[in-house]
Amino acid sequence: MASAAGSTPDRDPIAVAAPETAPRRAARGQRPPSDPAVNGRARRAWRDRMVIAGFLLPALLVYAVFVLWPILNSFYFSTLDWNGVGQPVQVGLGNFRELVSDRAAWEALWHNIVLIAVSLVVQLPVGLALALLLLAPIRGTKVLRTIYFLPLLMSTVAIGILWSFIYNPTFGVVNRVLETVGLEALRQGWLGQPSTALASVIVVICWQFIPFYMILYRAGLTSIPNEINEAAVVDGAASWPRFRFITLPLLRSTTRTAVVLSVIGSLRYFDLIWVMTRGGNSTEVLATYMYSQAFSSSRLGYGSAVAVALFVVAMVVTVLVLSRLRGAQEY
Amino acid sequence: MARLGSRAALSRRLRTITGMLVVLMMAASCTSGVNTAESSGAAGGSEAAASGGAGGSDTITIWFLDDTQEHIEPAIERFNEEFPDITVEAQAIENDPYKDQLQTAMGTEAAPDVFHTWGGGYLQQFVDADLVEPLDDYMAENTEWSDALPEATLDAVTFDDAVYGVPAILGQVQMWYRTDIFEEHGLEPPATYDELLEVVTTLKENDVTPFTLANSTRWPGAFWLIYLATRSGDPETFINAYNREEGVSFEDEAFVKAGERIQELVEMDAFVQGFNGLNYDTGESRAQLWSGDAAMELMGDWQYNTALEEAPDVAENSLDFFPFPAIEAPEGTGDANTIVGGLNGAYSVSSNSGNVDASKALVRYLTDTESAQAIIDGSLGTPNITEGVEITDPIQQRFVDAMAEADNLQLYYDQFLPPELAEVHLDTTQELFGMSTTPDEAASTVESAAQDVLTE
Repeated sequence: MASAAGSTPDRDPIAVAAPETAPRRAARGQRPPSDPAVNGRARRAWRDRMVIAGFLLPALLVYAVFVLWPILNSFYFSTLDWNGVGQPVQVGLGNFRELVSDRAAWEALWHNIVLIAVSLVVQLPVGLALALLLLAPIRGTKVLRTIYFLPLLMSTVAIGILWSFIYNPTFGVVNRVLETVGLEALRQGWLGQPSTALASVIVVICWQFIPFYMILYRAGLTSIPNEINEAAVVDGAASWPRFRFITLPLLRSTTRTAVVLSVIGSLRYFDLIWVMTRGGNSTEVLATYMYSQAFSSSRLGYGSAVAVALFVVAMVVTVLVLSRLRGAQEY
Repeated sequence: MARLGSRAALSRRLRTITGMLVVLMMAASCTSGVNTAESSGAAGGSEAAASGGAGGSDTITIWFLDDTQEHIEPAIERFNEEFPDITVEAQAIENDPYKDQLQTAMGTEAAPDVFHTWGGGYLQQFVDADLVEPLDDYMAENTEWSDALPEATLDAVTFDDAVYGVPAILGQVQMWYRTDIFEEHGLEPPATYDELLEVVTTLKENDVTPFTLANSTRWPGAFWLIYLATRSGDPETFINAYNREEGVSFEDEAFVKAGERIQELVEMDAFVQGFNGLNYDTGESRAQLWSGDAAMELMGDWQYNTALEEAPDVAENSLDFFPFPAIEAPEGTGDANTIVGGLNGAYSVSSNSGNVDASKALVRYLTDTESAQAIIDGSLGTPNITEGVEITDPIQQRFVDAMAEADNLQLYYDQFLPPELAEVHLDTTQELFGMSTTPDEAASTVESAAQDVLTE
């Protein structure tokens, strides 16, 4: 104990920073302050805290300026009748009263719900299936991994324009293929009619996001210890029960993350729909409705009210999902 | 002990260094994250912000539509001969995102000094917010330029007796058709609407799509509604309904009949499949006209310039236009002398400009006779000024003649109306085309929005 620094020479200094929390500090407080070791430790704790603050501050600052402040601002904007450039007029809750009886907004919310449902039912299972495939003892998984991952690397706008061409009724691939295989009757103006437009866009959304869940599940799968599966094999478990009773339960926390991400992502989804249909032909979702109200119709106040509603819905749904999926960690 | 001590000192130093590095990296990644967000979100917004923020009197920014480069660049060159110390940052922006982008920038430091609009209600909201410079005094000081400007076209940029923009390019919507397809099937450009319907029938019988249309952006379909409304009833109906004249509204029979005719055409399968999902900006409707899959497209005069670029063969040999045919009495007015069109490029100066005088001068260069010549040479449409402009291309000459002979220029509704009402008009028209609303419903939706917006 020649020096404070020498007292715990083998501890990783940075690792110390995290666990040095309240109970430890309380315990230290009972000792007489004159103890040099305690003084040194207190000084180090203070320094650690400064380092932590140093790490967090830039991110916190950016977060506050670019996320918190705009959110608070849009709460304020939602009480205004304002075109974004002129004199704003205070209307209190007027925008929200209008929103509650706005058929277009409810329809948009319904489309969001459809999107959530499809994302959960299609994107997650397919993502998991692809992840399993990539870990299976077959050849070419490296190539497949790259191919499957590609959609996630492309710019959304490029994807939207590409798929618009694919769906083009006259020279698009989809209709041409239907024609070639003798299914002329099924040719459609895919993005141009309310009956098929939403489904067509959702297909593209799934195509874009399945790789994301694939990566997520792949990470989850690799963290399952091999011993468990080996033990099950020794016990004579077939592959389906192994998947059903070992893999799937052990993936619960991954699934929980995936569900939350997917639900929130679907609620505030905007990009592809905007690029492909601008929310027309019954593909309007809350985010595109918010955008077209705020900017195309110059109703920044009402658009902000839609944004606030979207925020509240996302909040409530997230809390619900998280509380439903709590207790996923008994393993 | 000494060894341990030095190791501790080393790790302390290491900790400080890694800490600093990580902070630096975080800061760097944060700022770069912000940058990409900005540049992808609002294409040129950040650049304009940078230069506008510098705000110095030696740099001015101009925002214009990306298909008018041939007009803008020479004007800037001539401007720089008079103002060699001023740098003009020209920002070309795609047609459909333009409105939203300007809407977001106006009133902030990112606002351009000189900007394109189509006049009408869209420009007026900025005027009402005191964001646009009146140009009357400058025009009075520079009569050599301003005397050449036709007065009639200044209407759409004049609010409360002050001029807030100067038009450079006029637009007119015409029915573009493939002469070779018409010849092949023994068809003539129709003079009446009934004849047009016969043309549609003949083309359908021969497996040619009569009309191509890209209506996901909604304004191409609105052209149909506007033309059918002006041909069905008194061309003054629209402006009277806008001015809330006694007994006139957006539920007038002219608008309902226009809706009915649109749906009649849709039921005849007169339009290309899936038109409500096609995007004009990416060429999804034109492609079928160039390829000969479709015979006609109701589109602005810029179609000619686009054809020259995208399908020069078609443009030179087999593309022509005819006026939207008259609907005969008692169903319609029986005349075809109203042209649907508007200002396809009017330039205004932002009040927040760091250099208002130079900006006004740039507007002068953009709208003078030499620019008019550049517009003709680049086939960009009908120039506002036609006096003293040399025209060799017969199609261009016909644009100019058509504009001169028209009794009325019916402005595009969506440019003329305040944005909130314009959106309702565009949405209901797209729904009419999609058969998801009825003509009566569409008309009454527009009318009730008009009552909200116009009487405020």
